[in-house]
Amino acid sequence: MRIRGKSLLLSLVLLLTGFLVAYSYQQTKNEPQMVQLNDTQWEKEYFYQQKLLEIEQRNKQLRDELREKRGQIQQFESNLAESEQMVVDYVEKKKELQLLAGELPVKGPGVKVTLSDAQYVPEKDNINNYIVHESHIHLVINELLSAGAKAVSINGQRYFRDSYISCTGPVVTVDGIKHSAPFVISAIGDSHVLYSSLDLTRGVIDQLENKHVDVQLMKDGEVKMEARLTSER
Amino acid sequence: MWLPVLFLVIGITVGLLTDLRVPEEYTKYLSIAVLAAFDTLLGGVRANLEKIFDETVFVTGFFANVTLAALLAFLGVQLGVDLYLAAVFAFGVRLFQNIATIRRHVIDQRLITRKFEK
Repeated sequence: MRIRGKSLLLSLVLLLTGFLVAYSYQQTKNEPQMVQLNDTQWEKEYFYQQKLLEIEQRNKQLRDELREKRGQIQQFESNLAESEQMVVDYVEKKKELQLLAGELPVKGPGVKVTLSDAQYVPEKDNINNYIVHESHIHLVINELLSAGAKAVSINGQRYFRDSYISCTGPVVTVDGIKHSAPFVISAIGDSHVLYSSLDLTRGVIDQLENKHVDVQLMKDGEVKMEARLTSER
Repeated sequence: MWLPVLFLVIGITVGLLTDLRVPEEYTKYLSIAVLAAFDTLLGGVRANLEKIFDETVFVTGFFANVTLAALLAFLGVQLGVDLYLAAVFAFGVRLFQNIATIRRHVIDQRLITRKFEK
């Protein structure tokens, strides 16, 4: 009994001791560690932090610069693309103008009008009333142009806005080059429109028929015109 | 003899498993209490070796020491003096004394047995 009591008391004390020790151990274990820094460490830390800040600032600066440069490059590229587009446009325009000015050979759908002198001339009539005059050619060409022909040629020679057609005796002169009947006037454009505008009732063809001119009108899927040579003018 | 050991283990596990947090300013008291407990235990061991062990003294000493140490620390905090250092000092000195005495006893036992063998 005495032994038992003694051991019980001892057990109680040990229990308390163990509890206290373990508890305080746990307490100290969980406590956050205070970081002690001495002066040199402070200095170092401060120095490195300053350095880090500087580097970050520099980074930011460089990043901004990079963005700016990228923007500039983009600008340049877009400018280049624009200018290239402009060049392309100019080239297109030039080609168009060259086509119009006859510096390049052109081809396309259109119509062909052939004017030739009358086959049969009655004895008592004046021969002048039975041959093709430049006014007839004028008529046809004007009609064609107002119908929207893009290019017109007479016997294969391109006709321009400043061309002149004149009567020189038995022949017709176009820009100083003589042509004789029959005259083949070809035009490039919407063949359907050109054809019907010439073929109107009381239109150009009818008028020419009345003036005893032989007119042949036909659509042509592919009218070809040569480029104008400089020696032609 | 197994009962005290069992109780010690139980105490340690309870201490480790306790999730209660003592506030920052009371940790001093806890450490002082631990010191006091150690001191008392070692004192008991020494008294046992010197054949003057008395459990009443032991138990009362244990509780009184722990409580008094905590009280002293508390008083120190109230007065603005680090009185708990005094407790640490006293307990530390006593601890060492006790350990020395125990050591001497053990050595003496060994020597005596050796002499007997001779």
